[in-house]
Amino acid sequence: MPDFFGVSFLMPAFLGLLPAVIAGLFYAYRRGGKGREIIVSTVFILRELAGVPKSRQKFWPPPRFFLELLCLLALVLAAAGVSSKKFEDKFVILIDNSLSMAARVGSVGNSTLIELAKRDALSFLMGLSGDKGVKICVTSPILNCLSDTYVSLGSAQESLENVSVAFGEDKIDEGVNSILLDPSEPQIVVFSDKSLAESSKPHPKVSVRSTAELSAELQNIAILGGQIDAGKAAGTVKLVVDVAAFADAKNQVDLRIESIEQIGGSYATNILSERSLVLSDGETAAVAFEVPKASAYKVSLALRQSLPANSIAEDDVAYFVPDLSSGKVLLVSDFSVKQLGLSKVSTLSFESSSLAEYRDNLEGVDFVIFHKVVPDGLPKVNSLFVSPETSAEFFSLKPSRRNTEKVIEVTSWDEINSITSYLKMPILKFSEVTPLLPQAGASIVVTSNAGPIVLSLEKNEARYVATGFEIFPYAAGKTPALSILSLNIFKWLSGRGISVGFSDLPLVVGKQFLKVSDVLARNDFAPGTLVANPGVYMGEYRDTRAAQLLAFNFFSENESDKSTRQTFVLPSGDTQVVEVGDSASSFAPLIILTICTLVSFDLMLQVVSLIRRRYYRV
Amino acid sequence: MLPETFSPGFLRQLEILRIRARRAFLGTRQGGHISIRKGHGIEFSDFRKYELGDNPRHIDWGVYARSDRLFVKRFQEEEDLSVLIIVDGSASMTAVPNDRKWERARDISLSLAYMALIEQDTVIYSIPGLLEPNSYAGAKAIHLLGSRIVKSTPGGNPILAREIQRCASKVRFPGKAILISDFMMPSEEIEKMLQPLRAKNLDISAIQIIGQHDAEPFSGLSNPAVKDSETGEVVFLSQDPETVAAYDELFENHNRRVADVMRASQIQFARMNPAEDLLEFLINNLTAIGLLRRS
Repeated sequence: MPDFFGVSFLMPAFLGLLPAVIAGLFYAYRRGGKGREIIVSTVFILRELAGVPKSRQKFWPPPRFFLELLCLLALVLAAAGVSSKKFEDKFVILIDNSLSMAARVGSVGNSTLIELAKRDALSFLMGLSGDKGVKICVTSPILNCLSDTYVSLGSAQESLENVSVAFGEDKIDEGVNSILLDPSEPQIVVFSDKSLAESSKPHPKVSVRSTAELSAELQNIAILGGQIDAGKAAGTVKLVVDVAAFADAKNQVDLRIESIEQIGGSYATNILSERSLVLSDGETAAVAFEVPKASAYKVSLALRQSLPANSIAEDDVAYFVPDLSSGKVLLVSDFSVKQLGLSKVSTLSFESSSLAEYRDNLEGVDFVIFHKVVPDGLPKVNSLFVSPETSAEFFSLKPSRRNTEKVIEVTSWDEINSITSYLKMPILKFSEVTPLLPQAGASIVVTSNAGPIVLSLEKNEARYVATGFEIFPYAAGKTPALSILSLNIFKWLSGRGISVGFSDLPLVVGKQFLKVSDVLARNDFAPGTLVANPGVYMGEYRDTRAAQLLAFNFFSENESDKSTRQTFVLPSGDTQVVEVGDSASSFAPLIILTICTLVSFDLMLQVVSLIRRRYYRV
Repeated sequence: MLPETFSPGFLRQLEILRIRARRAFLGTRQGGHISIRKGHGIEFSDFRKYELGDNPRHIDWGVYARSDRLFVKRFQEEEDLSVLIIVDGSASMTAVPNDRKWERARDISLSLAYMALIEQDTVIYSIPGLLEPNSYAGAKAIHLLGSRIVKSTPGGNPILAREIQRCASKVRFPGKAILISDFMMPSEEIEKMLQPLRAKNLDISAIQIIGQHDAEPFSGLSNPAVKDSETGEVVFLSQDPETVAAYDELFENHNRRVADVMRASQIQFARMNPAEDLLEFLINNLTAIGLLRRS
């Protein structure tokens, strides 16, 4: 049964009628609509009629032509027995395309692991016989299948070409879990450089083809992080870069810092500093540079001997955008700055005060954090109310909800609000929240299934935010979602950036952006697209915010560390296997319905035409 | 064999009608029409001086007694009339069968031929491209002519001007010419058709048969494409009220032009709708334009 885009034909020979049918209909309409002209005594007067062409040289058929064409096409398709393709056996080829798969293996012709995985997948597909349906999926940055439906072996082999390495971690276990939810119960074949954990039970539907043996011999040097602080000297910044060696010998590493500045209409790099260091196996070094201020920085490392000591080139580059502002924040709480983890926010300085005395300490303060306490009346400075225990002017409290009955999760959020930018809201889960009822013009920023939990208000040139849940202690990377939310709130209240110089990939360009441009590669990303490669990007906002440079990196020790054997775990194999029955389902009822609809339209056009003619002849 | 219309009662009605020529023509034998030849008729014409050789019986002795000079009396000769009947039998006359244009043209022409034949006139009858021009004489010839016409299947696209030229060449003595057509053609072409008849100095009459479909081609039209029955040319029509109104105006202008051409050439002209009664048309309309007279 021939297969075209997941559709098959029981009698494909009838498709040969298509050109004849289309040509016939065209001929009929060229001859005068129905294929037979009405003979009149003479047309010598008729041809003089204004607005009537002497001959319809340019054939533009009436709407009825298209209806009839669709009818004929539907009839031919029905005759050809069009049906949706349902394969007897289905396979999902799940390819791990995380960053670690970019590693080059010298012993196999300097090929990357992803190339080896694709080659292995191709030979697996070529080994399959019969009527098999295949879907190619990749794991990074999120589980993504290259086709919506199961396709033939040939189509699957072609789509393998489109698989490439992404800057992301492998999520093989999540991917396998998602695919196992497919009711058609496909066989899953995983191609990865990770191996199945010994603790993992084999699953009857999942088989793993690992290149872990090859990975074991690989070594790698990578940049695993960095941070920008103000430099000691005026007009300088201190750039700290974390470099790690996953190698079995000492390696000399050359680090280079380049500035990224706008020159004319485009951005260009300029070398600021270079330094060499020697790293032993497993050694991590934080290398600090004091460099002049620039719009952005590119840090790259190189080894004197690139292979086999440095198998992944993609993790040798990092980008940073400095944000050197330092604001003053007043904390009004029963807890200290350290207890709330705020000392980890290096770009802000925090001072504590009591509720009774806070008004005396407002001078020079960017904003005030009221932690669990609420002052009388709204302060005249920007304020954050964290987990308030009493109502304030712009919100009132509803009874608290705990997650004992059901999970409290985010249901909706204001996408264009900067408080929610760079944040995957659905991953926020709460053990306890106090829903906030907005008052006095406050707007809801985040809503949970228990009610509104983040409100904002702009009044009398001051900004206010209230969260109906505890965001402290600030734990930076340990609670990334909550930390980003906290930093976003701080940023909005202080009116300045407080990032460490970059954000993590991937970025889904949200609706708050008009566009995001890669300033070095000169690529534009429209809202809704995915920024998946490290780099420096210019973000143009939809609101009044000024465009600004943004740096994106992907740092993952798991992916860069090729010297440690990485494993993953499969779900347990107690899933009931259901045999897939029929091989095809006919579209005949749908086609008949389509034809009936088209014929009805055709009749309607005829009736309208008749009514018009009668009208003017009477 | 005559068409069904020609019942004995119908023929008796036709016998009271005569073809009328607007001027005298030279005939070939004695007939019912005043000839330009002076001779032995019964109607006095004029006097002339007696010349040697004149029949002394024609001397007016009364004039001689009063004037003492010899004059002979002259009389108007009555001779037959040559009647050329040309009927357009092209496809346009039969394209729309419901219009019955051809049937009407055939019956009118045959009626006129019958009137001429019983008057002992000579009839030259032709359907261009279909029936060669032949002379018919004597009342009984109507049956031969009728059977030839009935056996003819009209159609085709003859070049009328050339065919009429051929018919005119068959006319030895000038007389009456009757042209029957729908005249659904440009006026220049009509002029070309009339040219050979005028050149022969014939007394021309024209009858236009206009069908219902000629007047209202959009009526019942279910298809935007219409095809010329003669040339095969196809035109596409938009059937909106504006186009219909425009056609009505063009059609009226065309008919007015045809009438103007006829009037300018002093041609007796009548227009017939096939829906009209044939006998009434002959008696009323053709008598009114002077083509026929009651005997």
